[in-house]
Amino acid sequence: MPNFDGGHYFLTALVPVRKGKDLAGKDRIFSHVHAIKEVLASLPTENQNPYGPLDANLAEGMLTTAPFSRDLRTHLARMVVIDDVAYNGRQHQDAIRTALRGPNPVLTEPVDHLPWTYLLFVSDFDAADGSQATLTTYLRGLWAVMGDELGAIFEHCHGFDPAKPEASFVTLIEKGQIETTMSFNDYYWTGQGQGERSLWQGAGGPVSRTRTAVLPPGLAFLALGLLAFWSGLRGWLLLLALLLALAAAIYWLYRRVLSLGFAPFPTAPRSDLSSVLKALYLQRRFIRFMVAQQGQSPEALKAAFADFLAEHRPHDPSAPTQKPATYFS
Amino acid sequence: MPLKLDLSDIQGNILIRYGLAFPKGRCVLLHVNRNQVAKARAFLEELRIEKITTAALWKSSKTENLPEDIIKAYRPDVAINVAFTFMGLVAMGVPVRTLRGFPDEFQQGMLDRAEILRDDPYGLGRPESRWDEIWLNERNDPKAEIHILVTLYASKEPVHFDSPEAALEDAFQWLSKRCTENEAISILAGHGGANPLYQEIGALQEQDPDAPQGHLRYSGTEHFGFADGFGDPVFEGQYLDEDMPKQVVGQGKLKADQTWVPLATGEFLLGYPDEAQEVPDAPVPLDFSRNGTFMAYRKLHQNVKAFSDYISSTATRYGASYDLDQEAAEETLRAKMAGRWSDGVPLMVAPTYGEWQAFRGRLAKAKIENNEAELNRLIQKLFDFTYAADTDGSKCPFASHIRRANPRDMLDPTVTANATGERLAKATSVLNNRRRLLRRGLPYGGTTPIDSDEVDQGVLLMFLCANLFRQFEFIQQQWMQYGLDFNAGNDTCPIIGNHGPEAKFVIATSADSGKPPFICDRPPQFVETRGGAYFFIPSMTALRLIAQGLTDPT
Repeated sequence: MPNFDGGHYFLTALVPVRKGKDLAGKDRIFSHVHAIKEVLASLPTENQNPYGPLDANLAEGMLTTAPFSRDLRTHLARMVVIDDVAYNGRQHQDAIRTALRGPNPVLTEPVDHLPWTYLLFVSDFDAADGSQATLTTYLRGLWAVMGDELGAIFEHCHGFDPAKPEASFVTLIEKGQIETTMSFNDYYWTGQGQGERSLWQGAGGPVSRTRTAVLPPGLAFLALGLLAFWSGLRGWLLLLALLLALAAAIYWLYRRVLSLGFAPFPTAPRSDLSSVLKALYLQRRFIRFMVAQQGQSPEALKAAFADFLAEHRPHDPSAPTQKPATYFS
Repeated sequence: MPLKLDLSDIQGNILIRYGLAFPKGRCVLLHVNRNQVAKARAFLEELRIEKITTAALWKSSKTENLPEDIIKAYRPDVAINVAFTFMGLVAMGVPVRTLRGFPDEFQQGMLDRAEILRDDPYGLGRPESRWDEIWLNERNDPKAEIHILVTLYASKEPVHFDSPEAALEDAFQWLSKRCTENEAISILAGHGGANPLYQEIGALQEQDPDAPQGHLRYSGTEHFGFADGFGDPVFEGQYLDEDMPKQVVGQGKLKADQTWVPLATGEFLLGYPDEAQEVPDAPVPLDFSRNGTFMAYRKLHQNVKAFSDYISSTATRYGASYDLDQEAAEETLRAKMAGRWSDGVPLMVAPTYGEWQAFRGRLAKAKIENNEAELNRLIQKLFDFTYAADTDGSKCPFASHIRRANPRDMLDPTVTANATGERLAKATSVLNNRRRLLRRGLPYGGTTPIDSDEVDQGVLLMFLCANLFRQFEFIQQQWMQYGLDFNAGNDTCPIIGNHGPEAKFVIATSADSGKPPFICDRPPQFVETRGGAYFFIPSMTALRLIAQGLTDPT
């Protein structure tokens, strides 16, 4: 299932934006589309410092205000307002056919539009599986840490109930969810044998080495054909049996390849957000450690490394670590 | 037919640098009064007809035997050239349809590209700007808007004057007089240095080894002590056919058979096909852009004391790690940062201090013996090298200055290696051919470096290319101020890059040396931009169109 792969859930949802006008501003009236764009534009993004941490204290003390950074499962999240489908010009026409049978190229063609303006919400988060319960838990967790911001956004969406904000947020996303057909996971692990699948192995879940005795239905049809041959039937009946067998084998292969393709890859080691942040934290600290220890005697180096381990606790992803949504170019 | 450039239509200093033959210069910035365009045009007409130095070959014993269809001009005492900012072209009344053909970055100007270039015009993290005020004044005063750059380069041996200085002063006085008489043109003040009306530039000087004590000669070094000016791209049409085979080696583009051929002319002059076999974006009409090019003018301040202090303190630790005495350690450290030894010998030719000394020995011997063949062979080595034999950077660090500025064959994406790291094909310079820059310029400050960070000294560089965005800005942003393309993370150039509080520079060692790599810890800021702008250098034809107000874009 492409919504879930490699230990990550790839959520895609389209939620219609309310029609009519937003009266909240009282003095001036805006459309909900205008208002939701303004709310989104005013959300703080990640802290990126193009000049590098000029002042170490400033860098460490920088307040992370991007609301999604409060959720330690979300890797990447994006919200976009889709006003309409992009007009892509007139339908392609065969010039000779048009000349003979029309339509008259002078006449305009109808131009299609979306019935609503949509809010697109995509998010890539750590998950154990691709179940509905997992998604619901994630959405409730998101509401718990950034309910104010989500409320301010989704109040401009069709079907949002201010009396039951959390429940209606979850419902809106779940109703508006569409299948993610091409997920992007930055942490795919190509360890030994991880990317390999065999047609003869059992499908679903982590690939096991045990061969499952799946008898393709094609073999049965082939047996049928041979039986017919032996029993004296010849000519077109034989041909029919073989064709049926071939068609069945192709169909079986097609289903088999699809089911293998849908089976998610296993979670890459330490690809959850906390571990990734810890890795970034350790990388920065370890470089400074390396630089500082150049030319040290083995004994001094060993002692210093023990201090390094004690201070930075490489195996503890929770702390000390790098703040999410903060990075230096 | 091979390309033959109309040399007398191209301004001088584009194709080849004036070099040490014109070792003293002044850069003057002018403002045009838009209400007096007719008078401003008259000034430009005079400049065009009487003053501008073109790329036409000069009459000399070397050129007198060339065919008659090659124009031979008189060698000037002062080479004069002119370039325009975007606002300068607006002020000169160039039509909007021509103006809109200029690329975004040129229209925007260097000051507004500061974030991309990682420049610091407004003194980020400092109490005030350290740029020369001439580059910032236009933000507060429309009459200080920079429009025209006039460069004056004086010949080492002027015919009509006693010294380059006298020739230069005469040329400047002429310009000054014109700007006083002509109310449409004024000289802008606010350059750092002795005289606010111009930026003085000049080659450094050193004791002439073949002359008595106290007799100085011009040297090609800059204030940090490196011999500068190696490695300038070579493109089709740039040299006479007979000179090309020698010039192109190590300077053109590298083919898979490891031969060098000239780069496409369109990388450096507008109106010609470039390396993508397209004619780059340029203003209409073609006459306006052809044989013109763009220039990024950069005043780069050098913190001479910070550099020498850092080298000497770091060399102590570096020398201890690799058993080098202080002198050898300092020279090696400087070479590892630059990619060349201080006299210009590439690390790829002489990777260690001992090999460098041996190379110098061979060079000195060939000079004493007057062995021209050997001398030519050795000098060619300064240019003719690739990085194929150094895939781990243990000879020339990936992040060193010249390897970043011109990675030659190292970034070829089509070259793959087998499991043992052996390359399966010869690399080409394919990913580098569209990122080359012609570098023109001279040091400024005293004639010898002063051990200080506060003295106004550094190098005035003019980067010439057909596309500032793709060539100059890309190299500056991605290769000088970032390191990802060289597997160096966010490490910037050890010499000219911005050095934040976590800056470092990695000097790799080969795996079989048994020695750990050395990491230079937190180098301070060595080079700082103190001003600059983007200019368009028009051809003589375009200059005529501007000066006569006859640009017709329709």
